[in-house]
Amino acid sequence: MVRAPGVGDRVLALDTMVINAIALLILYGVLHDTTMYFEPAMLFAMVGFVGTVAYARFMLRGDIIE
Amino acid sequence: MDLIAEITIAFCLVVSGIFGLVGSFGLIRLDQPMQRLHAPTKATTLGVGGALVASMLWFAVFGEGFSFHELLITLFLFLTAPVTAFFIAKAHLHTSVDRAELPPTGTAHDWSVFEDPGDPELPGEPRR
Repeated sequence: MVRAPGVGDRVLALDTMVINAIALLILYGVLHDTTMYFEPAMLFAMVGFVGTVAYARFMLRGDIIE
Repeated sequence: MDLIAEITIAFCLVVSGIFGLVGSFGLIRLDQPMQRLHAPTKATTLGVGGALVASMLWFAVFGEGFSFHELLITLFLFLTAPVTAFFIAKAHLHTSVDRAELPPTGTAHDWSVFEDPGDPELPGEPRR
């Protein structure tokens, strides 16, 4: 994400990082045999989606809320 | 029965690991921005799907019964990954691809419309 050649690649790297973090959270939950980690995973998924869409809109329009 | 479940879970985990690695590695290694878009959005989604299936099987067989959280997360991710990919592709097309570089559409109309959009002038604010 730091040495990406363009803005779109940075956003894409952020999206990939969020998805990998979700997978890590779920694996951690399986490792510790608890269902407590599913709510953070769900929140990560939602916030990651909203953030990526907001960044793409910002690139497109130069503004998020019009 | 436990052995079959363990083998299935391990297979799902290995598949998810391979897909996640391929997706993240493709993000680094591919040349064109549109090619880079392909690798993480598909492969990483499949990787997370494999991990979620493995977790669902684990908690159904060894844990406290079947839970719907994984299904919710899977559904949400599978719904939102194409949307984010589409948004990033659209932003990339609008910002860094010239109109003259686009290949011909093969129809009478421009890209991203199925039929003639008609008069582009809209009332109110001018479009950016």
